[in-house]
Amino acid sequence: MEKLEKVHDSEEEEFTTFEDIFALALANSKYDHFKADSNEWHKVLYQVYKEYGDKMPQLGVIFFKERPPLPPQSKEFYQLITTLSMSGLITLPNPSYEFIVMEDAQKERARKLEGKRLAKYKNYIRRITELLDEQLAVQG
Amino acid sequence: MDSEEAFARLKNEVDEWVASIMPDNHPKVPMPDKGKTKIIREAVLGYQVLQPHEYLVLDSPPLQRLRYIHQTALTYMVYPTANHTRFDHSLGCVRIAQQLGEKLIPGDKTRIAELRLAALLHDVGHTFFSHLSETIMQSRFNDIYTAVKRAPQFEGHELGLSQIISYLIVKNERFSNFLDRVVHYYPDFRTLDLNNVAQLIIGTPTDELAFMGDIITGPFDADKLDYLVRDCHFCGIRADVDVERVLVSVILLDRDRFPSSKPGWNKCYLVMLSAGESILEQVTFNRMLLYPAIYHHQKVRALECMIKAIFEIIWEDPDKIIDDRLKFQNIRDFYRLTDFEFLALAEKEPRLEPIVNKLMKRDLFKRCLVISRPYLKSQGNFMDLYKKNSEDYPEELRKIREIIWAELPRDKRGSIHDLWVDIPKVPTSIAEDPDHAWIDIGTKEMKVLSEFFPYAEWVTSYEINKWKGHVFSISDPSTRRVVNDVSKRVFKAKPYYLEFDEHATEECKIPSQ
Repeated sequence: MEKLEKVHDSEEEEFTTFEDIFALALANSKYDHFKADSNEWHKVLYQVYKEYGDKMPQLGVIFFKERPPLPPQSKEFYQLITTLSMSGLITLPNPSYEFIVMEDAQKERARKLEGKRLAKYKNYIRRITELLDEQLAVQG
Repeated sequence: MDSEEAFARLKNEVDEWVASIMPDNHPKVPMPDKGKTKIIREAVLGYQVLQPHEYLVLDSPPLQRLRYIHQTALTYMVYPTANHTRFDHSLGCVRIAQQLGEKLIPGDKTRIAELRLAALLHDVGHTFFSHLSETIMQSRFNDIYTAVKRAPQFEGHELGLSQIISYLIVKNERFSNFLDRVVHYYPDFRTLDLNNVAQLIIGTPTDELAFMGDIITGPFDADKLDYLVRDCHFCGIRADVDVERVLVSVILLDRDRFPSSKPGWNKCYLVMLSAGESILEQVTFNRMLLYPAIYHHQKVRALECMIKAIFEIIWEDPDKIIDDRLKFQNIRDFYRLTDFEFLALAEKEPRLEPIVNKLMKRDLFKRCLVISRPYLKSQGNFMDLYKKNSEDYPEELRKIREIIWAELPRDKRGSIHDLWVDIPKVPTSIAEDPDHAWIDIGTKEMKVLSEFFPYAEWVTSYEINKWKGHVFSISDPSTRRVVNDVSKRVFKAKPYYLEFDEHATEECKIPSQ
């Protein structure tokens, strides 16, 4: 098992994806409920991509399709939601699926997983958290 | 590599390949008389009437090879009747595209003929084993693929390599000259725009013709409507789609129904009347159901791993492969072979013969561990494994395989090519398409299908329970038991910290000693 740990230690920073960035950005939010509306999410994703796509290579893979009058659409949004849900880092309470929820325990897990390996992006991630809070967080 | 260089390189490869299979003066036969149609009968959609220019295109070498490319790769090893091909599917798309065209733009013979031709040609860029080899190509030639996607011609579209190559074949000088000769020979089709046909394969010709793009490459296009019905039919799965109902309910968007203040709005999309909305739900759900039933079926995935293993062996040391056609040093080489040619040649190669022989005799890789959310006692850092899907990150999964392999006792170690960690990629388009499909419910503004039902979230919930990854090995039970044990230990360690319950092993049905 030593080998596995060594391999991972050396690559811990290398193999991070845009899902890791959003997991940490959500975990750093002071809110635990976020809108699940896909158009709202696409807008935020697009803004994040425009601002940080060239600063964080993980965001460079996000692809946007133009389909006006809808905001630019990205299939990576669906990948993000599925990946975070499958990983147990967010929940989508049914039957309404109105909110994306990240509870304290999930936030703690995400911070533990991602905090260290994304440390060099902490300022960017702070700004992404602000965007999520402003546009997607459900207050109160 | 920049996008211009990648485009030029890929175009050059396509040009060389087309030149190698199609003489400059094709077709040598005299042009059939105007109106001399041909009738083809096929199992799913019945009779098809083809115009002379269409069957001349169908008879061309790039199209004829699709007869020998199975639509669902090696799925026929699991569902014995899944022998349908890209050729059958292309014909099915022609029929559905025609029906949609007749409903939306009745009497516009030119546009309908463009739709039919685009449907006929949309899969001409597929190579053996369809999407399986496409994934392998995209991964092996990732530098070209990543760069070419950014070329101005493909801007705004997210295209697979086969789709890009379909476009390049249609735009190839020799092939487009041939199209020009056979299509424009007939007075009824002289106004047919071959540029529109090529554009339809990758998206939309113009804003006004966006609905034509929707018919060929949209959220509920002729492609999906045909393959859903066809794959179900030939796999014997009772999950049908009411295509006729779609045809009755589809209309063209009335642009006045959108507030003019919305910026960038000048497209003319395909819209579904509310009465047809439930049919689109049916399409969405059936697509999802087909993943566990067919595309992500564990035996299908095991077969795919065996094909990937063949490529690993080839590329590990191409000099040891005798037949140059099997070295696959560039993308063009993939287009030289069809399904059976690949297997027949590979069986003759000493280094490939053992695994090909096993595959042909259906001694397939078998499950050693089932990776599934419900089977996790501790979900640890599941995301780090789940996001390394087999389609996008084969190299990352190879590292995990190497670690499991190195931990195996020497007498069970065998070849690394016989040990696979398979993490299927969740098909995001199932959730994405309902966000792009317009529904007219008679109110002031159009709605999109996802406003009727939270598809993205529903697909996610479904995947949490249904998605399965696997560790596969050779079929020997004692090897499988050891691989099961070692895999669990590897995944329990840093960085994954995953603990599996007994179902993860029991479901593998490994014979006891």
